[in-house]
Amino acid sequence: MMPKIPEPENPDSYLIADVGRLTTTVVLLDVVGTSYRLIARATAPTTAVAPWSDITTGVNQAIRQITRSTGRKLVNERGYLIQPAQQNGAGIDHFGLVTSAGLPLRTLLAGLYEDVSLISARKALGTIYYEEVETLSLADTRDEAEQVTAVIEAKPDVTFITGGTDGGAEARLMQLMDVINLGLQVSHTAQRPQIIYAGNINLREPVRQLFSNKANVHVANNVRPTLDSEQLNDAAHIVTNLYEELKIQTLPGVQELLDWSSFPVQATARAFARISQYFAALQNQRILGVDLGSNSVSFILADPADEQISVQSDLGMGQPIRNLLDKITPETISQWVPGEVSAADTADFILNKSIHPQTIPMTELDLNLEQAAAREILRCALAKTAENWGWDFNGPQPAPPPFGLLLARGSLLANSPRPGQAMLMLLDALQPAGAFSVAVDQYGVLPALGLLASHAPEVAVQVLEAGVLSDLGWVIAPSGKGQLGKTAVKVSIETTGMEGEVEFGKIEIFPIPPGQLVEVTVQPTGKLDIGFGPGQGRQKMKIYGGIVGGLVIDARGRPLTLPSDEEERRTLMRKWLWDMGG
Amino acid sequence: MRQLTTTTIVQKQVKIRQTRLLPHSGEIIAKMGQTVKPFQTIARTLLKSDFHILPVAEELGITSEALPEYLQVVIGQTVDAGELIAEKKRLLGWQRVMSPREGVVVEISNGRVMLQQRTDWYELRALMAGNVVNFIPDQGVVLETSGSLIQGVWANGQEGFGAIRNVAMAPDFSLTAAQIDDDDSENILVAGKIDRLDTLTQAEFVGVRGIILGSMSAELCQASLSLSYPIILTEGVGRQIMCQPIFELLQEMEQKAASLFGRYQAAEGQRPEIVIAQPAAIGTEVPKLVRSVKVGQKVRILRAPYASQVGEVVKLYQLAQKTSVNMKAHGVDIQLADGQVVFIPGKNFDTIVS
Repeated sequence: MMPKIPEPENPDSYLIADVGRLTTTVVLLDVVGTSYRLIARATAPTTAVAPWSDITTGVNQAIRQITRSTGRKLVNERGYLIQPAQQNGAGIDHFGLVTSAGLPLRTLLAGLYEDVSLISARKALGTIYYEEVETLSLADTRDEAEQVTAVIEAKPDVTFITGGTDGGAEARLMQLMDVINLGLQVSHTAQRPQIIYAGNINLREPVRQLFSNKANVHVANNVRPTLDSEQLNDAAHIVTNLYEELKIQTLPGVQELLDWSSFPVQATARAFARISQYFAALQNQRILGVDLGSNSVSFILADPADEQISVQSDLGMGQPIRNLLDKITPETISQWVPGEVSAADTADFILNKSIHPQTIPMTELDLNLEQAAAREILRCALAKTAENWGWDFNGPQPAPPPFGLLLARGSLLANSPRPGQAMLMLLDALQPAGAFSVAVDQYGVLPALGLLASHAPEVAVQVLEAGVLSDLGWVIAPSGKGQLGKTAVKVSIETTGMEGEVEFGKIEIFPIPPGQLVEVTVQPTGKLDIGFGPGQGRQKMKIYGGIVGGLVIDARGRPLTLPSDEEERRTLMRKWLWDMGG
Repeated sequence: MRQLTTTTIVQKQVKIRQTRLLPHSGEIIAKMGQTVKPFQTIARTLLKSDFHILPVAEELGITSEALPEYLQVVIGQTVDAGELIAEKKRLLGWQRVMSPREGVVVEISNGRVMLQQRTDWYELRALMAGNVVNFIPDQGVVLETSGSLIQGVWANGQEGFGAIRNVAMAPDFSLTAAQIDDDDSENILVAGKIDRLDTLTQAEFVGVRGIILGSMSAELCQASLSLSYPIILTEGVGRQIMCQPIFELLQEMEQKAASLFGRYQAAEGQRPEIVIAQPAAIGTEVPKLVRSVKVGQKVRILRAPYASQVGEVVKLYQLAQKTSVNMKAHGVDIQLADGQVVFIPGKNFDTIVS
């Protein structure tokens, strides 16, 4: 149970808009009885681009829907938000905005070594939506003139320079900066260039002198002060501020929403990270958050005292879905489809989805293809995250660190026709091992709660406590390999008296009614590991039943191996889907 | 319930504005208010930035700070190959740094001189007849004209101007290489789709001015990125037929001069556009864009199994409905041309503005 936070005598009401690239979600949070609840939620298309070119249109549309469903008047006749809430129940006390509607920050990244300073810089940049449009490093084989051309053609929003440990190399970093300076000197950009310097502390003053007549220079702590240490927060903070200034504050119509706002605007990924970390602290366990968005994929690894964020803006279920074909073959996507589909049709599907990103599937094949693409998008994004953050790999498959809760969001996951499909997508794509529960942000409310976690924590806690998430259920998934047909896991659910064994290669659900607390004893065989060591089981684990129908034992092993025979593979896909209730 | 939907413009006579931008900053040639023709150059810039960096201070053996004293050139000055850049008197004679090539001095920084070599000009054409109504310093202009406007959904990044030739007899007509001949070198070909790569290469060989299709495969879309002529798809990728309103308008425009604007930023909400300018015609106001769907409205379905079919909205739903794959979605009932009524999620159709 989460701790109770004292309630104020006159509780305020909150209306939070999450303006995504495709969809705008507005939630109304207010007190019902003695605690805060999600009162209403509405979605509308995001209206940042033509034919509307004003994000307030979509936000107003969603607000009007809330008014229709609740009878609560929120905007006046002139279209302005009624603030504060009135005695007659109209209006709202606080409005807040989170958004991922801005384009990624076009970033030129410069540093000395690819596997030292640049990797740290990418971690700092990966806390917001960014696109690496050009990279300069010592590994660059181009001559200086070619590098200058590259700087000019990159047209970056931001140039992020790092390199050299504190007190270390200076000359070679200065050479790189000289190239950047020449490029900026001859670039004719409408906006004054923005430079972030997060390298060798000794070069701060020379950097200022070199660039300050042409660019805005932001100095951060060296992201790699020594070879074996990192300090990312300062640089990440500057990057976040620049993203807000250059990409959020310039969204058409945003000023009106900012005028309504009681809190500073926040990027959706940051807000999701905030609530994940808050949740991790409340539950005193590690959380793996995943947001499968239309224009980005975010992973959050949240511990009670800290969180890591990794945002990838080159992947997503919307327009960037086409980038998947640059990373993998259509056959890799269609291997997850339980029916027959050609590589050509798969490629057509991907490009079409990129062209019409807002559309949703209306045929079984389209649904299967969309869910197959989602698996590969998550897998590719996880691999990149694992690479950046130094996570382990199980062969080609990244192995996320152990966690207690998988917290997932994104419209494809939240709107799966059956919860088992969402669960299976996550298990196939991420291939997590151990014992953990899975929850989905079914109402798209987590970023709103992330925004409030910093300003009105009691609201975030009480809404979470009220069960705003969709609890899919618990999963026990051993890592390692077993023998097909041989017992992989023995399960005994003491509360219901149910016992069983699951063969290696299978996925099974042991029924537990949603919400019911049970005690489970689990024993893996051989060297299979459910997180307590090879062959080590656990007595009387306390778990809850979820809406997939019970405890999921995923005994398919890690990494997952799919049959090479197409028909055999399709049969297996159908079976797994069936076993998961999909 | 009021639903916002995306729109596709398929207008026969409308006021059209096109923003014409250089790839990077340059010189604007057209004047405000000027009437321009499609092939007229309205702006230009150097095609490619080809730089040369001379470490002058290092070659003269002086500090960066001392360089101005010895420089013989200034920023903006054009120099020929072998022309003097800087010189320093020595005990016996002079030490000189000469330009290794012709170019313009674009920057002097940190003891170095940067030359930009003169390269070919990139000339930005108007691509449509019209008037210059706005001026974007160093970047481009906004042109205005009257005529027909059709918005596409995908293009291969090229632009072109030519006469429309409807090869298609029906919206699902597939264009083949055999149907393209030498007479098509001035033409923009219109068909439902293309199934084979040799059709694209034949069109390149003949030198067509462009192709407008309903759809083609992802493989051909990829191949078309290296072609020199524009291809605009009106429906999507795959085997969709061209939707009836676009097909009919293009049929009507047979032999008319058209501009294909296939260079666009999809991430910024831009669409490829087909403009058939008729500046002499009476200018009409831009139609008020439909912003929420209503009963009786003409809409186009964007996704299988009814992709590209045009129908009429016959019922709006207040609450989300279950779709054929058990997802819940807000949407409408649409009556298709064959009389069938189907529930379509609001995200899966756009409103045809015609």
